[in-house]
Amino acid sequence: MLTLNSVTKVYTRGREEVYALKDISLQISQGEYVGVVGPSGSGKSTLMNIIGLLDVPSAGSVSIAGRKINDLSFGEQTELRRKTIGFVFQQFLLIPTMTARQNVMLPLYFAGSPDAGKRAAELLGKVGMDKRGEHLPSQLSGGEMQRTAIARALANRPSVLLADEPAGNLDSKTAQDIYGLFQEINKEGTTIIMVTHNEKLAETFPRMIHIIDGRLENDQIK
Amino acid sequence: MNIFTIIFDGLRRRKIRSALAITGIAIAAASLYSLVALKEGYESGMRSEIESMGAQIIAVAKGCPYEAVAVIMIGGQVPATLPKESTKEIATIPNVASASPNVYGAYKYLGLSHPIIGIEKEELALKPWWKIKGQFPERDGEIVLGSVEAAVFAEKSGEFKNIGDAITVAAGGKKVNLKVVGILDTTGSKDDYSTFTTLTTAQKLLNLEGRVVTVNVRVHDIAKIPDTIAAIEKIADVQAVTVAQVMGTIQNLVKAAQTMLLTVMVIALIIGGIGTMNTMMMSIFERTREIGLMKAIGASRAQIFTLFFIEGLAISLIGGLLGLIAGLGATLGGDAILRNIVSVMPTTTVGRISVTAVGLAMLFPLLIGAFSALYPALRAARLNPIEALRNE
Repeated sequence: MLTLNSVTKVYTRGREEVYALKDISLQISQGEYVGVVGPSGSGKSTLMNIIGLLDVPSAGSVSIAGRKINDLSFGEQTELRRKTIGFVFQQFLLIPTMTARQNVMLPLYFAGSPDAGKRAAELLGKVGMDKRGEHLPSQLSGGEMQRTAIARALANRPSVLLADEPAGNLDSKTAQDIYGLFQEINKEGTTIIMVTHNEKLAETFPRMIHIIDGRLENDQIK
Repeated sequence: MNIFTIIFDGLRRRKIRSALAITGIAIAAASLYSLVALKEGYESGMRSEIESMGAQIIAVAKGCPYEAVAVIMIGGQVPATLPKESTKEIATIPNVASASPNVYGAYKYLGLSHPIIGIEKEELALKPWWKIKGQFPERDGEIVLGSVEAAVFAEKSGEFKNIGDAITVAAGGKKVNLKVVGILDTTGSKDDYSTFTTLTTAQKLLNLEGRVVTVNVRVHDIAKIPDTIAAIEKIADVQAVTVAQVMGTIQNLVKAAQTMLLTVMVIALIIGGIGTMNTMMMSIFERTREIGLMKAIGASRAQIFTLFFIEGLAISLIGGLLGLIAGLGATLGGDAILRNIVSVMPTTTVGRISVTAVGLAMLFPLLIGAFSALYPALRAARLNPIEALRNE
């Protein structure tokens, strides 16, 4: 479902060329649960951005859901991202002027979905936020905010959920709840790719990808 | 949820910022509305005032004819006069349809000064809309009261109740008895606040025997007015102006003040526009991450542009509407203020609701809003989502 073929990403900083990713090839199938680990600045985020269609590789090719992203126009990329990718961020990134329910409705609004209200209610129920939907993010706890963000990421029924340190700002008890939620979502067939610093946690994942200095150091399937 | 709930919830939850931007636009719209409405009201008021004189040409003694006419219009007294014979000479000029001699002055009654105008039958040719209850004054000491004067006298004087009653007034240092023979139906002009009498009565009252202040002329052919004026001015010591010229002079007087106000208003609008632009820019800087997030969850460039552009338009529209309401209030109050500043004012109120002003006061803020939201909205649409998400 997701194939990266010799993907390289180069940034120019002044006259210097910085390789964020070097010659990465990997394949991820539908329904996998993949952990991405590596030190800060190793290129994990760049990898996530390329998989999430927010960035394009300098060399190599990427295909998602059978479509080669190198050939897509800007609008087509947006369209594909909207349909296939869901994002969950460490800082939650909820829109502060919108209620939890409105935040969940936002991707449905951008997709022009007709029954956004019904879908949002269903998703809030799924993440255990059905009683907190009318609250603003400032009135929610960290765990509640991340649950809302996960509901938002699932709004357009994506095939891949990209999570960048989703429990990085949460206490360990809440973090456990959030990981449990991801597992549940994965069991329903959604591919999950999660960046984490927590190697102990990553070891519990069925597959772990190790990135160091932009290179794929280790791709371990249990 | 639709685009409007997204925008309005956003504006509502960023109260102070939204309020400041809206206020800037509202002030600009209010000043624009007041200026245009007052100008229109003043001009149309003055026009109907001058039209109610019924004349196309006004002949006065040499001097400053514009000043003379302006003074007459506010009920003042003009020192320079013409011999009464001038009327006959003017009436014989070809193209003159009617020439009506007028004497303007004032008498004291009930502790106040009241304008009185001496007229002859020719006045009726100039003012075909006049309807008099009772009679036109023909004998010495007979008067016709304007509708407002009649109502006030009937209420306060104790001696005048109905047509046929007389009032005792003071004029030219004498006590005089004037008999009310008629009451003029409401005309909506200065005439409602005036008293009309025979030419000779007015001349006696004001010590102007054998003299007249103006000769008001109507012509057969408007196209020949310049020739008619030239012919009138051949008579010794007589000068003539057209009503259009008087109107033009008054408008010129107003124009100077107007230009200054216009400058102030344009500056206000520009400040309002810059304020909106600043608000929009700040709002985009503040929300850089939100924009990155929106892109990540599937917003297209066009959708981001629309969101921010409509937010800018909404600020302008709300500001424009509030400004309009404030402007309507200010215009009605502005009438009273103007009356204290400007000496030549029409009797009717100049503060009125003007369609042009409403249109302008709504259109300009919207244009400015559109212009100032355009760049920030484009910027938001073009933001690189990765950099935007990284933004702290």
